[in-house]
Amino acid sequence: MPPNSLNKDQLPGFIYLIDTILKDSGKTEDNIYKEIAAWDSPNEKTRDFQAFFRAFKLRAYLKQDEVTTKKLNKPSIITLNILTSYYFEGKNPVHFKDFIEQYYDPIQSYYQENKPLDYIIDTVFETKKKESDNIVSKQDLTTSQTEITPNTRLKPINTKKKKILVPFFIVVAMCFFGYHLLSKRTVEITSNQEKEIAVFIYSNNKLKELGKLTEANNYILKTRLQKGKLELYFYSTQDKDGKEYPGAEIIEVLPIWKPMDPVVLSKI
Amino acid sequence: MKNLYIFLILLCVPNIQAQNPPQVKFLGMELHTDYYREDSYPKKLFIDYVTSDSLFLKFPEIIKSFEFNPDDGLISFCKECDLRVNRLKNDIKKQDKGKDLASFWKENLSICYAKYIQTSPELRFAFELQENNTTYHIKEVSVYVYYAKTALSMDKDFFNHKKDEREKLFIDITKTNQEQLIKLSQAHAVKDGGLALNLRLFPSKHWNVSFEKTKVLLHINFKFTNGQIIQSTPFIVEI
Repeated sequence: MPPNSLNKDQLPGFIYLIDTILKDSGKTEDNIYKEIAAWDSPNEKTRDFQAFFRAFKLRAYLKQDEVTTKKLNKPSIITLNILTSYYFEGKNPVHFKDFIEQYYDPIQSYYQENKPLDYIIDTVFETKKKESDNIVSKQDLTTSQTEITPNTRLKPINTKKKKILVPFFIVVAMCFFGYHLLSKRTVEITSNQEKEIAVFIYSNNKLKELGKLTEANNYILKTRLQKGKLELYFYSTQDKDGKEYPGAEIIEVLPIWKPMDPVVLSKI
Repeated sequence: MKNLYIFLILLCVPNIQAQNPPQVKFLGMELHTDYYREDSYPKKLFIDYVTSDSLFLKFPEIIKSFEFNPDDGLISFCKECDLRVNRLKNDIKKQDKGKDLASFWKENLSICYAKYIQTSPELRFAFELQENNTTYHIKEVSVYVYYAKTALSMDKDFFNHKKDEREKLFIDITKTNQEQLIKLSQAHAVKDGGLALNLRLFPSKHWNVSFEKTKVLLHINFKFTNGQIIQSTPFIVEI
């Protein structure tokens, strides 16, 4: 609350002051403020009669029992000081704050009799208070949330994550394993010749030996191969230098669900 | 009397020859390769291709022909290799000229080269020994090419064929109507069990990275260490 205008605690003093001025001067609210504005105050600041007009308006409003939407300005401390000086008709400045302290008892007793309605007072003072209350309540909420989250909310998230992650990894592992299973299949490689033949797979200009067709394995080589088009390179190892009569074959390894005949290497 | 002796000697010479019949007998030839089929044509079709009348007279009535007969798998294989060769030809233009081209081709086309070797015709010639107490050898052959339709891309030499234990017969198909002597890489013995000589025929000492083949009409003379020369019947082969 700004310190340079009327606050709620000073309200009884304000009511007492205004009412007393009106009672003593015997004038109405409509012309008293002009007289005060014209009055040669010992207070240094020049005065605008509007300020006094607003002060009397406020007092009039506080007598009402109906809330009006009219905007109400609380008088500043300077205005209240001038009004106090005017009340005492003194040449020396008198502060409103001192006046409240000195006349505490009559002010309080007068206030008990002429107390404005609570909701009227609220419309004058509560607006800002409500906003500040809101801020405070918001702050409370945010602080309460931040305080709550680590203790109460994160824990269930962690357990949930674990619950989700474990099956997720199982599914990924199964997919990987399944893909690995499905992408390769066992292929039988055989030859019409009763020759010992070394079979290679040829990729990226490199030969990788798959195995040999020998009498021991009945000239049938079983090997797991990646599905798709593959290049085989083979030669007979029975001769002293069998490498020079090589052979090659491009084969297509079918997916595991399709039947596939054995690969028969053409004669070398 | 002197004339009588001379007459008797002259009479005996053919008799001596008749008493020493040739020790090695040619049994025949057969195809020993996949991707080839055997066909036969009547002799008269080749009259224009054989310049020497005396040689043509020796022709059998039916001429055997060993013809390249690729299946669908081989055709697609060859296409694949052609694509690869075209790509490499572009690559090689970008490469340094100092690089070893033969090894470049071999690194990149070893599977195609292997297939090319595999698709070259291998012919098996069988011989039998008449007398079992001796062993003769064959160290060289001579090839007589009557006619060959030279392929257009013949001049290119990308791959050098390696000479080794296995017999490859590099026939210069441009040399027609003349004998070309080809030494075998090793001596093959004709023993009591006979001899099966496998020869792979190539049109050149190089491979021009193409699967293009050409028909050659030829015969082969097998020269044995006993001085005997056996001539195969003329035949056609696609090499």
